[in-house]
Amino acid sequence: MILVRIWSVAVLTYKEGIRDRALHGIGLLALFMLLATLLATQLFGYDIGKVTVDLTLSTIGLAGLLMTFFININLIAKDIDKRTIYCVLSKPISRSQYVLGKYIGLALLITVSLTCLIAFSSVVAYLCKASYAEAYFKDFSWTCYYQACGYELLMLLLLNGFVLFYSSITSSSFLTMLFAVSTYIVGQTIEEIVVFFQKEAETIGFSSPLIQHTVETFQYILPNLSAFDIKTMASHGKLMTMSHTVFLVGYSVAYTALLLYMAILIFKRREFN
Amino acid sequence: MKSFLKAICIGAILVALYIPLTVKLQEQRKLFLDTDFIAYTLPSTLIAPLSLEFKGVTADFLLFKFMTFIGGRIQELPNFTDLHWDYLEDTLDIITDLDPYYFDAYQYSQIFLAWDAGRPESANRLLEKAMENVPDNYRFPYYIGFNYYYFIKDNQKASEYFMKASKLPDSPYWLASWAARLSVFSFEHRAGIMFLEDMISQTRDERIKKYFQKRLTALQILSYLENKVDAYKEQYGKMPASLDDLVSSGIIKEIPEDPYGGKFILLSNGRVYTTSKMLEQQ
Amino acid sequence: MSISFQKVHKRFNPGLFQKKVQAVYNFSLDVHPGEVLGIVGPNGAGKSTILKILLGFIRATSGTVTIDGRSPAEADVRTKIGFLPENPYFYDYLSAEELMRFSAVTAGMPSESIKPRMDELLQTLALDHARKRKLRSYSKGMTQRAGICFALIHDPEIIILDEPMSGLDPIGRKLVVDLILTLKKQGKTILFCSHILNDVERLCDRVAIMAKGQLKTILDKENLVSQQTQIKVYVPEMSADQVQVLHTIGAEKKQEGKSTAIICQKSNLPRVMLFLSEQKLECEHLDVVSNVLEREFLRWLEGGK
Repeated sequence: MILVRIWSVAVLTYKEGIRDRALHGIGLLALFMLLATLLATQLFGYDIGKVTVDLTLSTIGLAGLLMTFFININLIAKDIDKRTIYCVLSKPISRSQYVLGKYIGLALLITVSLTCLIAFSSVVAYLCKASYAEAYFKDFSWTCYYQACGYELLMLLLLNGFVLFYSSITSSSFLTMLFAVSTYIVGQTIEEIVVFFQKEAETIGFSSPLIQHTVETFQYILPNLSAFDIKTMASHGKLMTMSHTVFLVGYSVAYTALLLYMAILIFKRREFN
Repeated sequence: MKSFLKAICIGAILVALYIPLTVKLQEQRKLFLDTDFIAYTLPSTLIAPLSLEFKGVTADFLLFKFMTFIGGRIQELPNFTDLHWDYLEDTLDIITDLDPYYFDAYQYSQIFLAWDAGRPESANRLLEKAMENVPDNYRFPYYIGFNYYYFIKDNQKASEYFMKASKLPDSPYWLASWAARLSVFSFEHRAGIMFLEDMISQTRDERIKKYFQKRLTALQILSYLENKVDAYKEQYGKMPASLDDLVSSGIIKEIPEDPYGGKFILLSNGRVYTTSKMLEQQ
Repeated sequence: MSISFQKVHKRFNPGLFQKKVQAVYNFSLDVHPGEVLGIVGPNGAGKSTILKILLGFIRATSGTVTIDGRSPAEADVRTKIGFLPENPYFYDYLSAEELMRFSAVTAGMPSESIKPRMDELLQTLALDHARKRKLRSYSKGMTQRAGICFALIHDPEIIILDEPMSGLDPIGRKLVVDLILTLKKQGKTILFCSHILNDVERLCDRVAIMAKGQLKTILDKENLVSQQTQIKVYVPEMSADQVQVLHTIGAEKKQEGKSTAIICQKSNLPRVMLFLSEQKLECEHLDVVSNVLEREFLRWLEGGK
């Protein structure tokens, strides 16, 4: 029964999201950009395979981010803002079931939309590949391509965990978006900064223990989103190692679980007035 | 109370799961980052419009990326391939396109491109851009002149740029005379020493200071040894066969140690050379 | 299924560094099984707050609330509750059917009985033609009716309605009134709040009057129907002496424009009639005034000031 309730909330969220016109707009834009890839590759001389992969993967990534920031945040925030949450919570659905259901709904929405885009991008990539000589696609590999897509999806699922977490602490959709975008930017750069400080520590030592502790703490608190970005690797046909993939999946699952758990704890205490 | 304990327990389990996975991922990332290097730059004709009204910040960000890149690999500089240096040169180019008055970026192009990359021409190209945009700063022509003198060994050009620099405000008094004497001047480490001392006094970045200090020490030793070789020549009327002769004749007590871990060798033309080439020995 | 509020207080914290707002103060009320209880009160009286506490959307600052002896914090309690929020707003892109299915499934209704129940409700509330349309295209009244369908689909024992009549046209209002009367006959426990005193008077077994977060009084059926019904007797005109006599028999004179009326309690009518014949006054016409609730309501509000 618990599962039925969680799933019902998920389906509700998913249906509400997938019929949203804004989502259709983003989808259309992405399809357009993918089609434009066919033309854009004409402008390049040598590594056409790489350019194709770069462009299609970036389009997918961009569409996923737009969906997360504009559709998914809205789906949660509107629930509280417009009191649609009453019609969920007036049913025998606990707060934790609500949070889990919502997250599964968002994850479903992102997964389905991205799968559609990935399928379409595969067609585009295939067409590109078919229309140029093999030599221009020497690094191209479908395995790498789908691995990069999978990594991107994983990153978006983690980011959606953040969306839920931030929605639990603020009821303003704008603040949720602001936090989520900041998290994304920080997450994409944190690794570089940490590596910088670590290498510096190896050569001249930390300038103060405060910096050392801050850097070490940040490494555990902030998500390392750049680890999910292997677009350039994929465009050169380089496959990530199995262990890297396994630990990355484990990491994102553990991180998401923590985020959702905190969101549940906060949602339990929240009042919907 | 019970639910509070439950929350703590579940939280602890989740954290306990999360931490080792994070550590594991960090290990994996380290492996990945150490072995794979792929870096791209977008042409500034693209970055400039994309950065809208945030060109300055974009330039700052790129310079920050440049510093983290270099800073993270300062031990590995000698192993840098053309791929690395191309990336760094492009980055500096873009930064100075976005913000043509960015002193730091020009300074770094002198520091790294001329000294480490062995690309004095590239450094000069960027410094020409600097001269065009910041015509009042004597440092840029001074650096260019120095590169011509010290790396490219074109005294004619060097003197030309030193003359230009000496006419600009705040330039050191000796520049003009130096420029005039360049034609009769042979290659001297003294110029390098003066240059490095100037660079050290300029920067407040501890890492770069430390980095230059080492090089300065090496140059000082080379200059010192060459002076002593001259002294030997004066005293005995002939060149020493090797640096050990300086020790045995009592002119120096011992041959100093190369901070880079190389060995000093006396060349037949009276110049001293180090096997480390003043690069970090692995 | 019974509901009980015991000394419930609710303070809101409107924001950092702002004064706390006391929304409900010492509220005690028992709703008996099978009873229809209406809560009336001006805007901001705390009616909705009481209902939200009951459904667990917010927590009482102190005091206890129980549904069938259980706390609203337990999600399962709500299996047998149907709730219609004030100005219901549902998901834009879902249809009434999908919404009702959600309501039914989460309440644990067996899937084979969902469809007939859904048809029945949609027909009763005249939404059958729009069942597959997106809720965003619904008018206010339709949304309200869809909300009632949502609340009733799983045949709940306790029905909680927050302003069920708002936004409805006269026909819609009649549909809903009839529906509530049917539910009452089925023995459901119904708790609702409303501004429309007329409906409350017609439907409720008991009426609770709230003002400024406090329960002022509870009126039961007898109070409402018989006791204080007033009668107006219109007469041509009266002299001052006659008015004096009128006072001695416990009635009053009231001037309404050009016409003069004698106001008396229902129980006092025989004496007034006697007075009329004694004084040779002609009775032009009679009027029965039964807005007890309104009077009580206003009396409590003014008393509260």
